[in-house]
Amino acid sequence: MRSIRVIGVGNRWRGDDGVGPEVVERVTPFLPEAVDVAVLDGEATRLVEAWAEVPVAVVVDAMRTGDEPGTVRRLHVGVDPLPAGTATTSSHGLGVLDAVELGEALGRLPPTLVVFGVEGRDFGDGPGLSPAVADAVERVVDEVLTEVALQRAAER
Amino acid sequence: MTHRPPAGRTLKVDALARVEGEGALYVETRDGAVVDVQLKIYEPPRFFEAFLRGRSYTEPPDITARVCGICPVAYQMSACLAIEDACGVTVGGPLRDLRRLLYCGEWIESHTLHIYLLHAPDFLGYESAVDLARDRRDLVETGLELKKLGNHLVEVIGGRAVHPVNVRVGGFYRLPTLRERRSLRGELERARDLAVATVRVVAGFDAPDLTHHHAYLALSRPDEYAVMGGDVLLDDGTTFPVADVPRHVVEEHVAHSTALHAHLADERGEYLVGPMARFALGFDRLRPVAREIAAEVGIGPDERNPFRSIVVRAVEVVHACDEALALLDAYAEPDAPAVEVPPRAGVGHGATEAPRGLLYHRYELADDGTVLDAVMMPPTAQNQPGIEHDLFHLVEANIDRPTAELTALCEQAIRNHDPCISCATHFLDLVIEEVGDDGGVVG
Repeated sequence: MRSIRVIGVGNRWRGDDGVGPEVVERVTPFLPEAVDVAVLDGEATRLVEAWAEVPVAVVVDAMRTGDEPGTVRRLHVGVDPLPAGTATTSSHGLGVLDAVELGEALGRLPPTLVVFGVEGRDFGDGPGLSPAVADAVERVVDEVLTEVALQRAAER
Repeated sequence: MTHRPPAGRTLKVDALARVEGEGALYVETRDGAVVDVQLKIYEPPRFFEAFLRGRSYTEPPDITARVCGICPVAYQMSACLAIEDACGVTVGGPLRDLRRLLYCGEWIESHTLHIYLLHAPDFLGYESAVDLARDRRDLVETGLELKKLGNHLVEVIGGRAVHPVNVRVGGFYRLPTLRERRSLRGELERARDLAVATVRVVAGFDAPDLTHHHAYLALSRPDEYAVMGGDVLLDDGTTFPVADVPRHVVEEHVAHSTALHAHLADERGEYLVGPMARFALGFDRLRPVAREIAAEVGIGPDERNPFRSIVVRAVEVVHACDEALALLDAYAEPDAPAVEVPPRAGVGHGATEAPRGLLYHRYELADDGTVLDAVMMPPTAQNQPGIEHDLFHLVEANIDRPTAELTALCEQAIRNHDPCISCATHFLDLVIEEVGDDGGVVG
């Protein structure tokens, strides 16, 4: 079984909500063999299933916190406190942070779970990222690759 | 101590939780009577219909699947039926059966998500699915297992679980292999057992008192519990072809919502679509195992308490599992994964039963297949006036209850209809504020 999974959350047809899938697409060619990728819509139970299968998961999702668009935050679950009231966006009833809490309640969190949130600006209909978010994509790709390298080093 | 309600109050929920999308509820009472109920939907209107114009007639199944992560199959199927209708092609036989099989997977996963994670917490007194999971891990685990089996069915037939990619106008891109079908069979037997257990669990939930008298509207077919195609049936026996939906249903803008409100064109006005309507109108065509479990727990086609919709949804999951098994057993390999659908100028209509209710699509095509116009009427837009009506009577009957309790009851009542506000357009918030006789806020 592959040991690291990179999960992009979001919908490319909802503006900046597409940042997770976009990062996954850009990062995929640079990932080592032992890493696989998934794109999900953020529905909590699917997320819980997707990360419960691996020891290390790296999730990228859009968020809406009031920060400057393009701001990137890193959350190492179990190490950093869960931010209160910081909603990663989802058009569904439960978002990524709900999924983290649900996973915790069910004992289905991977030993290592890192979430990158990218502040979005426009979640309207249609494809395409707003400029600040598009600019952040390369930075997040670097962050994800660094994270994967660190986690692989830690495994050895 | 008795609670004495103020003369007038306003119930507001600014961000309704556990619904698909974002919205708000506003209820105003004065002198013990309800004066206003508004289910507010204020996400920006969706422009999918505009995106479809100018596209090829082969594209709407993929584009409309993006409308909703919870019921993409419904969008794909309604789009396919409408486009095939415009082109004068009927997809029948084994390909139609395969579409029904895919649709079963969507019903299983969507209903199960709603039952266990969105609605059960209300009945069991939990704030959220997470709190429920902490105390009742067994229950949530059952829900997750059942939902996953539904996901897997969608994944095998639809190509992947989220926004299936294997559906096309005329049929599919690839057919499931024997091995895939065999693996599904065992899984669906397990799913059916879990679904039966689910009915027994949710039938034991206390349902608050409420009786509604909305007109019910659903697809109807003589040969099956209708999911795809057939005619539209109302509970007074009126029936009309899907192509006549625009003549019988009027959609209008209301100031407090970005979703269109639908009502019947004649004096019957508001109506409901969804599990309660399907169950009432198609009960005798449910799979026998579904009817048996319904009888065991004492729910039948005359049920009019919307708080019992969770039981109806669970019975529909049993039906969907058993129907999927029957379809797998009767599977005959189609000659090809899809039939040819040559384009032609025309207008086509298609309707299928999304988990939340009837989803109608209409397309107008040019002779080369370019989409000239597209209309989608999602179930939540149709149910919005009925939901407001339920809330009106619920608040009226429970006006003496404390505001927090009443607000929670209203939220639960909204969830009776599993509104997919993302589809209808889009987010829900509840506001409950007490307003004095002078109109000032007292609470």
